[in-house]
Amino acid sequence: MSSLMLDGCIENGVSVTQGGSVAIAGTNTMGLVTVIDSLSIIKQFVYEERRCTFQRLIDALKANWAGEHENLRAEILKEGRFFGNNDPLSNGVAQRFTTTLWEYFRDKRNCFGKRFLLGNLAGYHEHYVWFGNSTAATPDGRHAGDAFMVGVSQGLGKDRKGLPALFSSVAAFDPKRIYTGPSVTNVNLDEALLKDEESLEKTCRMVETYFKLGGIHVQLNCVSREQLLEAQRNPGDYKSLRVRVSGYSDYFVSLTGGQQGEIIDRTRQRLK
Amino acid sequence: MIFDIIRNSFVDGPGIRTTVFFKGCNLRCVWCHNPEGQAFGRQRMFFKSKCQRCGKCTAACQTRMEEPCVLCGRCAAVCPHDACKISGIEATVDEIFAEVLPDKPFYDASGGGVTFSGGECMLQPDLLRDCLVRSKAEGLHTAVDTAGAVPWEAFEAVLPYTDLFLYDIKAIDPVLHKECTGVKNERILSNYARLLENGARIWVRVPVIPGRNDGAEQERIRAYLAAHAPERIDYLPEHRLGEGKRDALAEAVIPALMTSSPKFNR
Repeated sequence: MSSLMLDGCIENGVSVTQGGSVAIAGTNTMGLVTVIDSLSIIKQFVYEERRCTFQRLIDALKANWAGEHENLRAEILKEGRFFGNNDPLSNGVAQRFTTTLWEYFRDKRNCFGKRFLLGNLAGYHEHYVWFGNSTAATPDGRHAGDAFMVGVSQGLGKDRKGLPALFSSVAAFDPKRIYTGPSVTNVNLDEALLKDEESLEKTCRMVETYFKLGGIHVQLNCVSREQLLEAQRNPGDYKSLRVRVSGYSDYFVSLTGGQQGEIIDRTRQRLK
Repeated sequence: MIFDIIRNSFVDGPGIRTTVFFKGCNLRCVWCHNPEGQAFGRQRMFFKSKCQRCGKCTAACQTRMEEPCVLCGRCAAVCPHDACKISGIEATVDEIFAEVLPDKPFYDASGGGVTFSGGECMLQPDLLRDCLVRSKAEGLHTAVDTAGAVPWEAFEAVLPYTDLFLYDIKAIDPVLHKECTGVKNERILSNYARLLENGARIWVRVPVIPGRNDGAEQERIRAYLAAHAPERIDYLPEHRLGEGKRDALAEAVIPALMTSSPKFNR
């Protein structure tokens, strides 16, 4: 199917997996948002606002935020200028990171002799849990072993400025377009955003604007938190409830407890 | 002084908007769902259900939790669980627009803009006018959400910069109006009529509160609005979102809760 859809494969008589097309081989990065957030926190807390020394931050990470380091973690979670808030600090860190990647890969070639392209959808949801499990504590307040954020998404309360700000951040994070491979941005829409024609119209304009600003992908999930919590309590009543997990949909009640919790915790964009 | 800025509002006028909430109101509607918008000054709010009894507020308190609270705000600054909050910020126009401007592409795409609400934004005429003038300089559609219990001169001052008024009509019967809101409605209705005469665009909001202004009063309201028709009428059902906030404002005594409870250990 891919070979049918990509220029060069038919002309060259070579499948995409043998290098028949112009592009399509690269590498996917894991933990992109964790990296951007962590670098942003270092910049904000250590350098710009001088709230702690680098050594103190390192000590906190080595201790997995335990003991007195809890205070620093609480401060970070409360006042960190995380990615997804259309904040020049974290936007700037994101752009610098992706531009650095672009510069690194610019002259490199993959096994087919073609340019590298990157993606941020590395496997499925399980892999974000997997890799998180083998990663130590990070400056963004993450504990050792916690899952990474999927793709270019934000959550866990770190995005506080509403969906337009999240969309603006994601649309602008990669000015050099190094991430032209599979990209995923998960967003949970509150049912209030879709409750009538007028709200639906505004939601459509919002998503359209995201794409016009440069967004590549969005995965919209439109289930209410109450429904999901109720489905956890009474799975028998919610057998047909389907949710978008990452690149696929599945029955909510058949997901693991951890997956269910993650979907419930995904960004909820509340209205007034 | 403002007490909130809500981004991505779908319910405060046309399109996608950001709404700025001014602190201070001269009504006391019994159903108010923004009670922290009523008083003009800063206030401490304590959300008991979020408290984890970590004791950080007590340790940070300037008066060591002995009343009266001096509103230094240290308890709110150190609370890791958003249980303690100080409502009310003296924001400058620049600070407000640092929040309003970034979403402009979304306003432009949806016919949205900025809404000034509260509380009663018309009671801070200087700040409101400065915000409206700045909005126009930035090419933003403006909406003013008001209960209308202010002198007509206040409307005159904002008319040149206001694209739309969101106007509350809570009751027509003057006795009922006073019972439900604490003020008479004569000035509210005369201002409304005058706005219509001036050709202002108005969207009327009518809260429908069972046991208060429902039943026959709704008939009176509809008859009045049929005779003085705005561009649009929204009947707003009652909701209870303000109750938690009312309790949080009333919670004056944190010390008894904090100092007598064991430290919460993870």
